[in-house]
Amino acid sequence: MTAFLLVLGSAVLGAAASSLLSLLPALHVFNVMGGLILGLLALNEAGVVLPPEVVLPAMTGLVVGWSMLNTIPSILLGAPDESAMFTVLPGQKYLMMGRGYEGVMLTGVGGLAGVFFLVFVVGPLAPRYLPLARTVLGPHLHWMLWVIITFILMSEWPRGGTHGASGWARFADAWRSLGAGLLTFLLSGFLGFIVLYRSPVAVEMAFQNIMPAFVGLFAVPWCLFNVLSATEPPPQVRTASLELSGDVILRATAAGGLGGGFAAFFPVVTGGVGGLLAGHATAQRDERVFILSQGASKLVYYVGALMLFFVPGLGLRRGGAAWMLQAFYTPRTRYDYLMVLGATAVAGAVAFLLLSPLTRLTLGLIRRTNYRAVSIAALGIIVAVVAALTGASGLFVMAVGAGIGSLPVLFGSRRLNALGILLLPMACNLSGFGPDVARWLRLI
Amino acid sequence: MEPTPQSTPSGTVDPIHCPACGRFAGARARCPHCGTRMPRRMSLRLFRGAAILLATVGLGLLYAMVRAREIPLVRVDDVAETMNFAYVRVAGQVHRNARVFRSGGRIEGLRFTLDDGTGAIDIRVRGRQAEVLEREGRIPRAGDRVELAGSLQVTADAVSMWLQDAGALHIDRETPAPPPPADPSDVSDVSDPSDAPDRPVPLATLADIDTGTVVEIEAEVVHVRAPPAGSNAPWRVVLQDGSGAAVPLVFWDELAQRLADRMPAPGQRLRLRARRDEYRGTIQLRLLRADDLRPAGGAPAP
Repeated sequence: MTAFLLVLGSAVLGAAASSLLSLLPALHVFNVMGGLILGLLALNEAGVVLPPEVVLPAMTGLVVGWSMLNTIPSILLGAPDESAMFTVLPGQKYLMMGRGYEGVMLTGVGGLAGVFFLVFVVGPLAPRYLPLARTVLGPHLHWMLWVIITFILMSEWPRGGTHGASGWARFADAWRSLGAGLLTFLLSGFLGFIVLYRSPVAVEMAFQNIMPAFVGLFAVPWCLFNVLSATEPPPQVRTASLELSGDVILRATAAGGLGGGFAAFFPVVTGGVGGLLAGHATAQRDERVFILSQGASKLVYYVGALMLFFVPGLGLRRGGAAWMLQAFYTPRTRYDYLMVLGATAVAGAVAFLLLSPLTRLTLGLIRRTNYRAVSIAALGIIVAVVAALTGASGLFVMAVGAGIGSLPVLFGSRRLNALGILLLPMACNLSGFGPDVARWLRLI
Repeated sequence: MEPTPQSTPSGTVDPIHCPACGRFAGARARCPHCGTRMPRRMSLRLFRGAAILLATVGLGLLYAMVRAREIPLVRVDDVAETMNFAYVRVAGQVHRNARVFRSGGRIEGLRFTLDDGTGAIDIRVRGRQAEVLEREGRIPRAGDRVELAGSLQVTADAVSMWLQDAGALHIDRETPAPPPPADPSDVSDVSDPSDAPDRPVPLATLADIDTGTVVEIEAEVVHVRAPPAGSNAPWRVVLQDGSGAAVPLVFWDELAQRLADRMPAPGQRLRLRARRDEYRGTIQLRLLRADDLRPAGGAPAP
C-alpha cells in the first residue's frame, strides 16, 4: 500500500512539476532531468537514497507532463522543441487567427490519445512483440537509417526559382533553400561527430555532451528570431468546445501513434522525423487530424522511448531520459514496467487537466507582457541552464549550434536537417564505419 | 520637418506603413506614395552571412579546440555516473588474458579487465578493431601494462569502456605476444586458451572487492530459484562457502538454456568465475558465460 501511494504521489508530483516547465519556453525536459540527476547524486553522497518507487514515477511524470504541456510554449510563444516543429506552423496559424487556445487544446487531445495508445495498446503488447521486432529488425537498422536520411534530404523542395530572369540566377534562387538544407545537414553532422566522439564538455558532465548542441540547434534560433521579428499575436478567444469527432481522433491517433512509435523504437530517429514519416505515410490532409496526430506523435515518442527501457525482455535504451536513467537503475521485472505504465496513465491525466488552466494563464501573461521580453527571458534561461550544466565549453558548442540552426530559418529550408547531428554519426556507427570516419577526422 | 515613425501598440516601429502618409510601403526604402524615407530595416542578407560565418568558423574553431585538447586520463575509482559517454584514457595492468569471442571463425569482439590500482574496469572491443589487434599480435594478456582511450559506458550494474580505435591501445610488454592462431576455431564465446583460473576468493571478502571485478569462487549451492514464468527476473542461486557468507549468483534465461543439464542443484559444490555486482545495495555475483560454471574438482566444461 505504501509503494502504491508513493508511486501515485510521485507521478502526480512529476506531472505537476512539468507544469512549471511549460511556462518556461525553450527549456527541454532533458535539461531539467540532467539537473535533477545531479541533485539525486548529491543526495546519495549525503546518504539519502530515494527508492525507485519515488524516482521512476517522478521522472515518468515529468516526461509525460512535459510532452503534453510543452504544447503551450510551442504554440503560444513559438518556442517548439525538435519534435514539435511540425505542429508549430498550423499551431501558430491558429494563434494568429486568435484561436491559440483551441490549437493548444487540440494538440493536448492528441497527447491524451497518445497516453491511451501507450497504456492500452502498446503496454500489453510490447513485452510479447517488441523483443521479436528487435531481433528481426536489428540487423537491418543501418540501411533503414540511411533510407530515412535520403528521404529527409530528398523530400526538401525548392522554394524559389519560379520568378525573375531565367538562367543561373533563377537556378541559384531555386537551389538556395535546398543547398542550405544540405549544408545544415552536413555541418550539423560534423558537429555530431565532434560532440559524440570528442566533446569539449568536461568529462565529469559527459552525460550532457549533446545537450548544448541541441539547445543551440533548436532552441536558441527560435528565441533569437522571436526577438528580432517581435510578432504581436492578436487577442485570443477561449472556446468551451472543440471541433472534433471520434473519427478525427481515431485517425489522428493512428497516424501519431505510428510516427511516434516508430521514432521511439528506432534508434536516433526523433519525434520530428517520426512526425514527418507519419504525415507522409498516412497523408492526412485535415488540419485538425494533423495537429492532433502531431500531439499524439510527440507524446508517444518521448514517453514511449522511456517506456521501452522498462519493457521486460527488451531492455532497449532510446531517448535522452532512458540514457540518463541507465546509469542509476537497471529495470529487471514486470514490477518496474507496471509501475512506469501506471505512472504514465496517472501523469497523463493530471497533465491534461492542467492544460486548460495553464493555457489560460499563459494567454493572460502574453496579454500583459511584451512577446519580445518573453523571448529574451526564455533565451536567458536556456543560456543559464547550459552554462550551469556544461560551463564555458558548453556555451561555445551551443553558439556554434545556434549558427547552424539559424541557417534553415534564414534560408527557408527545413529545420529537420539540423538532426544531422545524430543521424549522420549514428548511421555511420550502425554501418560499422563510424570510428573510421572519426579517425579520418582525427577525433580519435 | 522629419516625420515621426508610426508605432505599434507595443511600442515597436511599424516597418511597412509610411510614417508620413500612413499608406502601405512594404519593404521599400522610400514610400512609393510620398517619397518619405522608411525607418531603417536590416537586411536579411546580413543575418544570413552572420549565421554562415558563425556556423563555419565556429565549427572550425571547435574542431581545432577538441583536437588540441589532451584526452583526460582518469582513475577507475573516479568514474562517476555523470561520466557516461565520456571519451577518456585509462592506464593500468591486465591480470588475465583477454577473452576473444568468435563465431564462424571470425572475431566478434574481445574483452579484458584493466586494473589501475584504484579499481578494475571492463574493456570491450568490437569485431573490426578486435581483428586488427589480433592481426598485429596486440591482444592484451596477463602481465601487460596497457594504456588506452575509449568511451565510458556507465550503467547501474557496471562500468565499462569501449575501445573504438585499435590504434588507441598501447601495450607495454616485456616478451612478444605469440602469433595469432593459424586456424581460429569457429566455436562461439571461446576464451583464450591460456586463460588460467585464479585461486578462489572467499565469499566474505566480496565486500572488499570492486564492483565489476571478475572473481573465482568455490562454494556450495544452498538454494536455487527459477524466475516466474514470463518474467524477466534472473535465475537466483544462493551460494555459501567456508567463510560462512551467502551470496546470490544470478544469470538470465539465455544462459540457463546453455547450462542445460549442468544447472546447479542444492547441495552441489561448484567452482565458478563470475562478476562481482550489486543490485539495490546487495552484493551479488553475475555469471557471464555458461562455461564459467563447473562442479568443484571437475574439469572445465567442454
